[in-house]
Amino acid sequence: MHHRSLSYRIFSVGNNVLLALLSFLCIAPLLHVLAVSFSSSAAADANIVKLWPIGFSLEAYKVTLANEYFIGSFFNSVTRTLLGTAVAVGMSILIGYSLSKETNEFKGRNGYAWFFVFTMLFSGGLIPGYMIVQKLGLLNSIWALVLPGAVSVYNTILLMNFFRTSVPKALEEAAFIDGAGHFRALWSIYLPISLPSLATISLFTMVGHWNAWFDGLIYMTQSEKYPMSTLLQTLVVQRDLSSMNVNADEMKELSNRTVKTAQIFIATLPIIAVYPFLQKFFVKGIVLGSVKE
Amino acid sequence: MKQRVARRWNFKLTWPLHVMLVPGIVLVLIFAYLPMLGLVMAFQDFQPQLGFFRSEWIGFENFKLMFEYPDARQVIWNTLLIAVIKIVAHLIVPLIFALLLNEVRKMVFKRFVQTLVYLPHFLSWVILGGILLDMLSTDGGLVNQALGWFGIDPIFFLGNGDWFRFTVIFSDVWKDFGFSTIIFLAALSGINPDFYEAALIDGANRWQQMLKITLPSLIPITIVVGTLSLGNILNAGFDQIFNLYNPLVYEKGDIIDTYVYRVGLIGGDFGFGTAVGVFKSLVSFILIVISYRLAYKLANYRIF
Amino acid sequence: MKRWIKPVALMTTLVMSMGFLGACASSNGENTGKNEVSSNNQAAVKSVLEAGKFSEPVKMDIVRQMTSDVKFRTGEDINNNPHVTWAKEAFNIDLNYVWTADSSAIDTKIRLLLSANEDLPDIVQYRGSQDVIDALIDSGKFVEVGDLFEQYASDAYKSAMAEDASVWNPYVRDGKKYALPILDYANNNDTVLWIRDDWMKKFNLQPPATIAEMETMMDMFANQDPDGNGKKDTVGLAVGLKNGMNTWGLADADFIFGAYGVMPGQWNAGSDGKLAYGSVQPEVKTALGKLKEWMEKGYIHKEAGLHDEGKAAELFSSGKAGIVAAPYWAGGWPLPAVKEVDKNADYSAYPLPAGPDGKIGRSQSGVSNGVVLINKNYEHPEAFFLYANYLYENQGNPEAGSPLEYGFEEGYDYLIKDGNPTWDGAQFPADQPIMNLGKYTILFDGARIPSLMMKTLSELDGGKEATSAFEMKAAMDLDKNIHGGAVNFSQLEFAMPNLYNGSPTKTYKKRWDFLNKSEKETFNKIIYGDSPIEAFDTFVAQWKSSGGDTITDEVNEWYDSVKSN
Repeated sequence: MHHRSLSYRIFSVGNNVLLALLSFLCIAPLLHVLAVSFSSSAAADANIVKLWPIGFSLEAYKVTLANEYFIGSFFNSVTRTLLGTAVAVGMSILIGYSLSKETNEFKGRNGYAWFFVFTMLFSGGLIPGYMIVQKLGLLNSIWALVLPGAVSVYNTILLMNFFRTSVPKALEEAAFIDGAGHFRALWSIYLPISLPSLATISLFTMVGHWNAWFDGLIYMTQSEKYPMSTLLQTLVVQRDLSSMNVNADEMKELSNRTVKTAQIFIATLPIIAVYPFLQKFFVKGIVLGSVKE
Repeated sequence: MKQRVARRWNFKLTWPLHVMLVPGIVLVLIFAYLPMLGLVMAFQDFQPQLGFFRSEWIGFENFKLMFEYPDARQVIWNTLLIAVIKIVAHLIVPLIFALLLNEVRKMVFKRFVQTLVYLPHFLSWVILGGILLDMLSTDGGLVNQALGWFGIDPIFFLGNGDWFRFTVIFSDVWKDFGFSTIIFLAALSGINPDFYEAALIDGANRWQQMLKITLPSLIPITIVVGTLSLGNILNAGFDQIFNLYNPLVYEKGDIIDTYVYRVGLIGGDFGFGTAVGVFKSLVSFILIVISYRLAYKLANYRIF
Repeated sequence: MKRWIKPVALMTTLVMSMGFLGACASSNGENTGKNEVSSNNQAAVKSVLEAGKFSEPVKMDIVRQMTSDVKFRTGEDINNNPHVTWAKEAFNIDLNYVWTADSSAIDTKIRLLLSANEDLPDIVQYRGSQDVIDALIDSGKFVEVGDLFEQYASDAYKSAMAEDASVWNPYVRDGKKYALPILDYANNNDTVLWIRDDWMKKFNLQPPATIAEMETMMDMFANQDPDGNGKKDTVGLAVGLKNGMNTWGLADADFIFGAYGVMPGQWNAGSDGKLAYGSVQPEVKTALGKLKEWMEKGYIHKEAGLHDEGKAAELFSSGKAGIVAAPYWAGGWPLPAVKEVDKNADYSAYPLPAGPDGKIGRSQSGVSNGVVLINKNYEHPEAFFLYANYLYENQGNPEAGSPLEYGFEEGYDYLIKDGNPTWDGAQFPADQPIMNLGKYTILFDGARIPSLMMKTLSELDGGKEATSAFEMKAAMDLDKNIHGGAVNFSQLEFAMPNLYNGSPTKTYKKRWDFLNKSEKETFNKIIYGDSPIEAFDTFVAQWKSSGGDTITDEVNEWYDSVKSN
């Protein structure tokens, strides 16, 4: 099926070696984090752990999993991620479809497009954003984590471009001639064809939600409502030590490397695991072929 | 009369498009445009306890303060330089990587590589900063040890200004190229397989397929991603630099955001921070407008 | 015409939203319900303070900073624990924590709360930046506490507070005090010199009394392979220079400058009684020259400029350095990790060495490490004093038989085994671990009498038998730390306090970042040999002309205004 010249075969081998090497470079830091989390805290304090645990200990995981807040925050994160992704991807689909039309089909699309793009660049910042969430009575509600970022302009623009480039115009026109409306065209033509790009922006949104910590910090006043990354941030963050109010006990807590790394690892694992599952949507040709019948 | 009919037909055809936008517009108005009123802080000596209405108006003082900072030029230049190289590298490296990955035949290996290179994105700079400090140490750091095998003297990566810039850019690309590749992989899967079949019939080899089909079909998305990343033209990566910089490299590594952060620590200055933010947004906005126009004029391509 | 419809619609929406924000602001009206203390009221308060308990339940809404050392048993939280029960039983006070935030979040939260003009609690318990305290005070919503303190505080509380009157300074406005400082043990983070005893023994060295002797020691530690691994991979002194020459205590360089009679990075009193910034004094140049020499000779780590406090201390705890200046408590953490690398490692605390002129100096850590603010509209400000008085009388240094002698609750913060109290966590059942209930209090760590800790440690180290509960608890600490405390105590006279702890002045806000940045840059470059030592003079000249002199004037103006209080 494929033409394989000698030069291409040499390239292939080199390519595979290179990719394998890169992969190792990329997993090494995570292995280090994992190794520290399984080490004794003295070994971690002395910073002698490399890629393999020293003084193997499960203590950090025991401590972490015994922390009710940590377990609770895990479910908060799952909820916000699922809800947030559903809302945000829904928004991107609607807006992306609408804006994917050209000006001659949809007068005013340019105005709308700039209306959205503008918000990507200018933002009112922390205080006004907080005031609005507070006045709407959304403090301590999961919606405070979902609604303010529900329209991701970046993802919407990506999706819009994917819509334009991957959906054959002829297919759409045929549908319109058969009497289909926009909603129908979107549902039965655009979405099935665009599964890879939907998977992409869903992944981006999920990662964004899973990693977001600042909104949890300011919109949730009860720490049992914190999502996991917020909780983690309060543990991992570098305190500003220039202040005169250093407290030895707190310093010690904050420097507990084994617990810190264990928590990082547990918190990162779920979102890492999502990707391999979504990869099947990236397989070339399958989706398009199925629509073509 | 005829015109009216046409318009009505057009409306009938487009009303769903307007309707689809309504929820998004409402959300954006409430959560993006409404808070923008707070940008007035840029012109105030904003004090939280006084709020927007009682804080003192000081005109362009906050902007003046930024440009009167003796190191302002240095800081802006560092930011611009680091950010621009990062933007370019973040475009080219994932693109090349996607092409290389596309040539891998074994699905299992491909997915394996894809997943592993995606991992560093999830480690925060607080953690990576500590790891880099160890790895790049001149005293037994892994990297300098490896350089030693080739007879290269230890390099003070984090303590020498030029090397610091290099390290910042390189490690940032390393952290995120796997993640950025996803967009290109999605675009690759959207390529119509008919093209390849046609090329095969024409007798094109793998090289020609890569150069004539795969690469060109990635150009639109590259332009889109490139243009959008201009929004970061004055963001050189606060978290990263904050966790890596030190007094020895202030001269070449201090950026706008670290400066604003330090000023904030001294005085919690919201007005100043907002003013700098407005300045950064304006610059990005102008650049995006320009490249949007250029793409439309030169390539007849509407980015958004 | 049509083209305009959309912009107009947009404008309308925006104008409407303006109205919305306006509505937010309309509630901004001044709080009028000022708390006038009538004589009638005062009598009632007096009787409550005398009775030691309210007859009717009194509610206290609190916002507190949750430092990460506050831990709870499973099923308990800040609103549900023995401390809350105790306050109810002892005083009939219902403690109600409205919300809490950890140290990294509370600044933002308080600022947002103030910006959005939300309701403020009765009590704010905060430990952090002066800037946030300023915003709270300037909101005008907190009561002047100086008079209340005079009226309501008990003798024990007053005498603890009187140990260092400067703790009030940052909260004084026009001679009135608006926040109650929370007291910490004095000199808690002051440095002592920790040295590897096994290395000293190996080279037959005595603890260094002078900088010169320390240099001899560093030379051997750096060059004669103290860890015996055949590699030249050790340094003499572990020191972190990334955050400055005088940081909060761990792996600090403060004593090197102190040996030359100067303390950089803080405001010291000059002979004329005026405050002067330490880093621009001529003695700094000499000390910098010394550090530069040490860097060249490999006495300090090549990457000291990249190391923060923790990273530098790690050199000691990984067996790569033989000396580190750190607080007395470092013997319990982080230094013991060194035994993981070398099980024969041993180390002790020693006095700081003297400079060529016999001078010794270290930076003095603050006596106060937090504040309590009381809302103007709180009807029972005396409730706080009732509570704090009680802690100072019964918990700070409890006498035998006092209700809080051993702790708040048996089985929580102490155990009675065979008739004797113990605070040993290992004695507690695994499912009911020891909890430091003192950390739940509104005073962060319970009542701390500043001078008590170092004095007690010194006495215990001198062989005194622990008799009081405080002494028994202190004796629970590691011997290394107790000795460290005694060493710390023996050098109390050399501690140099930072006398400027007030709000940032006008020019300070505008200029300090630049001055501070060029200070760190210049000093590090001199030490690394990237700049000649003369760069110091250029720096001083520039410092003075780019706002430093103005700041000095402003700081002195402030100092004059508070020092009389």
